[in-house]
Amino acid sequence: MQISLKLRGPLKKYGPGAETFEYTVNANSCTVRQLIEIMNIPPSSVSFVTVGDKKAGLDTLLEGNEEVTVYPRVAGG
Amino acid sequence: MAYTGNILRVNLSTGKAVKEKLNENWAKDYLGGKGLAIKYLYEELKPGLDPWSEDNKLILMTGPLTGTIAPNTGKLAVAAKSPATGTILDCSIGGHFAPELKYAGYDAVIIEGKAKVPVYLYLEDDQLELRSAAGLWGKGAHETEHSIAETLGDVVTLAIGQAGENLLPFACISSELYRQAGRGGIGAVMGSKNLKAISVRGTGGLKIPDIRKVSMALNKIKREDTMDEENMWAYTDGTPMIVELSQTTGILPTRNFQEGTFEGHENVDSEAVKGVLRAKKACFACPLACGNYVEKGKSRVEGPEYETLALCSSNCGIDDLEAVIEFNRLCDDYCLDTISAGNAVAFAMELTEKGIHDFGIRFGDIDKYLQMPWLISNREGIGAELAEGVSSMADKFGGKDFAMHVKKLEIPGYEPRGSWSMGLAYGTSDRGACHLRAWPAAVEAFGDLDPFTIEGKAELVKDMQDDNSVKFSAIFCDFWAISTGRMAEILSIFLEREVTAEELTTIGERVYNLARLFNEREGFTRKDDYLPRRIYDEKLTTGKTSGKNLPFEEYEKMLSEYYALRGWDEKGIITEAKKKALNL
Amino acid sequence: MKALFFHAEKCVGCKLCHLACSSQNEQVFNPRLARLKITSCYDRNGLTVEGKTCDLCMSCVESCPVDAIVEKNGRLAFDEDLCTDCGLCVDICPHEVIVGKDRGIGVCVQCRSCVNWCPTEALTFEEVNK
Ligand code: SF4
Ligand code: SF4
Repeated sequence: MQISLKLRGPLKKYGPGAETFEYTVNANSCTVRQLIEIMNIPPSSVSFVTVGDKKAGLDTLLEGNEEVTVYPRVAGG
Repeated sequence: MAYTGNILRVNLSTGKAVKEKLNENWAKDYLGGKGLAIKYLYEELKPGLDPWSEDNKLILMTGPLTGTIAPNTGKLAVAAKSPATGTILDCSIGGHFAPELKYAGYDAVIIEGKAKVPVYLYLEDDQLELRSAAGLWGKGAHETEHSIAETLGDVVTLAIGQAGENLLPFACISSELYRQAGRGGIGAVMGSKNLKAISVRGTGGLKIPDIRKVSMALNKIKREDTMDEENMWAYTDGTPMIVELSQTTGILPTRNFQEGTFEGHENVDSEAVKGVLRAKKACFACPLACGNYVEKGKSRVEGPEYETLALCSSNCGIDDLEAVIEFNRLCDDYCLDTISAGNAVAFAMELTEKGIHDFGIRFGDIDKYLQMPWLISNREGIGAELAEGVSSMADKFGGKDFAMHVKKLEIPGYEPRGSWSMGLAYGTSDRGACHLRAWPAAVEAFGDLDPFTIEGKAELVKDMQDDNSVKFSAIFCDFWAISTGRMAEILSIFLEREVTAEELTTIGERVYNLARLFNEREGFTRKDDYLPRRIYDEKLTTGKTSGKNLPFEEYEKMLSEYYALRGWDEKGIITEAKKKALNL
Repeated sequence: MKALFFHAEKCVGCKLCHLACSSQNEQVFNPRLARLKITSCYDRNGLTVEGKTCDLCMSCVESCPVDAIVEKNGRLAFDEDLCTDCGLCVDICPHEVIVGKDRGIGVCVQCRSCVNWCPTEALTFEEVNK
């Protein structure tokens, strides 16, 4: 299945170089947690993930064609 | 050498200055920055002092690491009794002023009295001059900095604009045009002393044993810790990144906190800001460079920061980035705190739309919005009312329940109904509603914790307040998520003694309690630790926070739990046992 | 021969390079004693970023009447015992990166501390095409 993935800020380095890209997962479905694992993103670096424009849980199921954005941890402010 | 050991005390009434020794015992108990500045104010200001009187003091305080190569240590604490709130007030300003002061040979400057005519201070190493500011009075901070640079060359300057001269309770201090000591009217304290600017050039240096080895060790820490992934959002995006986080989690203040999401967010988020980015910019000794220098149309600014985007964009219903950049630039020039200014404008907009009082300005009205910084700073037209801040506006015109402030300080850009811990952080902050004393939204609304429960929140807020207090006293920039262990490691090098993480946590707690004690002496108690009614009574209607409020009983419970954890009584008064334990 | 290069578009003005240089070569944290000059300032025209670094132009070597500054294996070397404190090199350096001191002077010796500290790769050490 294909997912439109967006890795924000410093997380960009876990992708192919661009911030937004199409990503193919070799499965018919996977959870957000599994996706982060496949991408090799340390969970501690993630503040949260959105699917569409909604905040998703780690167990949210992805079935292809979603727009997924991964936001980095932030401190300060 | 961590401290220079010298303080410069300037009395503007007499025009005299003396160099005195830094109180070393206090430096041991309070480190520097926030903590040490508050200690001096607590000891030297008479209880009940009128903050506008010439007996108020303005303190510029560096930290033990200022001027060294330790990463993210270039900031300065600026403190006084707040004319906005009557509480203790300490602000943090970046740029390059703090190291310059240290190189001039001082840990701090304490400014007392009031000059008879407008002046500015020019400090170069051992030489201090009080110079006439006759030609600068009435000018913005930007023109002031430019013309001082033309006269004095490569000095670093803190300056005020018209808002400070006109004694606005939310006038700030600017440095290098776009860096601010923002809140609580710190700029008005300068104005009340007829002090237009402070310029410094320091040509000395700081020596420590084994300096080459130390630099090498710190470079490793810089690479592996400071520039670690979890801090690099400051470089890749900077604070505008938070617009997306707040929008998604429903805590982006919108139209005077009536909603927690903004339909125009995409026009003012980090992507939009990156579209007009010209350069990244850092404070002294900072590898993170959170500053975004942007240009759009005729306007340019280093910013806009998240707080400005939240309060002056979504909260005013403005989704035009160019307008927000221009508003930001004007505020920086006239020296208006954008958090309070955005709140005042939004409050006027809501009062108008609700038919409570007609200010002639409505949400999204860009033309009127762009006139506001000038009108407010100069107290012209409706600006004369907005210039007093939302609490005074509510006293005069009504709308108390949605005048968004705590202790008369306007609320920053995180909606407490979608981040309950932020509510407690605002309520118990030492200078009124502030997000820098604790920023639990990062781990709650933006993290894994449930934002809609009070469970565990009192402890979260307390711990963050203590950590931040020591961080702002050692002076590390907030954007480095540094552990107390790491702080201890670095401080041990420069203080040339073993500093432990536990010791630092205690210092943080001591600093926070001393600030509370200062406020207690001014008559502040539990009754002052509450939020505007809107937060308790009105439910949000959109996005992730739709249907949410922060029920009053829950807030009460959280507050009591917090006092108990702090060792304060039910009225929020510090117990004798706690005072003794902290050596207060 | 390799030398320092400055890339203004990457510089954030943190001055870590100045601190790195002064601590390595003068054993003090003092940006004014750095053997390079990086400025990033707002003036009336907006942001101006400028950098001056030693590019091994050899003006100092040529100007020194007592050969206190010489080139050895593509690096500058300074001999304080020979130096008469005449200050010619300080005045002649087209990049103004020679530090005048009470005794002797400081030239860039390519220790690369600045390059190692720069967080944005605004300073690089590269082959000089002459
Ligand atoms: S992160 Fe930003 S505010 Fe903090 S020291 Fe660096 S440039 Fe200054
Ligand atoms: S260390 Fe790099 S980014 Fe910082 S001032 Fe020097 S050249 Fe610029």
